[in-house]
Amino acid sequence: MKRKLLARGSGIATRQRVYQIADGLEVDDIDHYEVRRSRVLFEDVILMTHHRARGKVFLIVTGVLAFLFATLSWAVGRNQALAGWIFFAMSGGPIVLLFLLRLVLGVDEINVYSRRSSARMRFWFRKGRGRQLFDEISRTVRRRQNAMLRSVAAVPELRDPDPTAG
Amino acid sequence: MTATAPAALVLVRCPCCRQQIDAAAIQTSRHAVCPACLGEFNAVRFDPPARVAALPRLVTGTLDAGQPCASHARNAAVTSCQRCGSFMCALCRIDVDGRTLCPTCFDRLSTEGSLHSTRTTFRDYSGLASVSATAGCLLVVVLGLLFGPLTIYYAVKAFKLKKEMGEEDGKGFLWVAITFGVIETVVGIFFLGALVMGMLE
Repeated sequence: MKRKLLARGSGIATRQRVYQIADGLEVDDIDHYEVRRSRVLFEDVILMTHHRARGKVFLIVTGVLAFLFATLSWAVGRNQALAGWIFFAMSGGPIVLLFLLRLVLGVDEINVYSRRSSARMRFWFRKGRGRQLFDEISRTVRRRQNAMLRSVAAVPELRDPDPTAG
Repeated sequence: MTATAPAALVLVRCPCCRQQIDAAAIQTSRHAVCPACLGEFNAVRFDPPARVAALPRLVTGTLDAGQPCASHARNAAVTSCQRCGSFMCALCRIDVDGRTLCPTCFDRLSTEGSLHSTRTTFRDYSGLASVSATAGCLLVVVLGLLFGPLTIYYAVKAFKLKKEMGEEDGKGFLWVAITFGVIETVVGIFFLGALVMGMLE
């Protein structure tokens, strides 16, 4: 199976890409120009969560920046209102848009925890895709772990008290 | 008989408040509640079984006793290492990158960096190519001759890394970066030529 990009996630200081591979998820954490790779194996998954977040820090930071740019625009446009509006549209506009989008839409987040690693996927706009992915991954995990349980039951040597004894 | 899975090594955190929570306390539910912040989320809990391997034991005193494992004398060997040839039981067997290795050879090869699937850190050459291409676009007149070849170099390195790691994704982007690199180089040469010609005249 070719690995497939499932989601990208970016924080203030982190960039992450999550791929699906044959036996799990592959997480690329990008720190400047170094990639740190980890895997979340379906056989090891212990918990999956899905929820919608607003992100207090994001809202506060974008809100404060929007206020600062609005103040600056007011100062610029005291004599020329049009110049003030143009300045605000170019500087603070995108930030206000981000603030409103996050406030109204939120961001859907999927967390997959395994015994040794975890993966986080975020969906700003494609929330249906996020829900579909959550269901797909949880079904795959369930199927793999059930198959593993069956193979465990089929191994009689497990009853041996100490298989590692030389 | 059910084998008990080892305890989780990774911290499970509430997706709402990021506080550490006990995964065993969360039940599968569309409205699971964090005990700390009372935030609601959709949760699916799993109880993964521990990994086990079929482990045939040697039957001593018979003709078809088989070969013993090189590390566990009482266990029957199920295969041999594809690198050193030593016999190994199911406990010692490591299947990696399409090869079957014994623990010693696995350690040696992973230390050397020859096993691609065990590599966990590497350079993001695709990212470097994209930055170099962007910088080259912005400064094409002055530094196009520097950033153009640099973009091509990083893109080629990224191609090589993807080939080593067996990755197929992101190659289209690298071709775009190479195209930009070539254009930047040509434009850079053109402007340098024009500058030299101007100085000669």
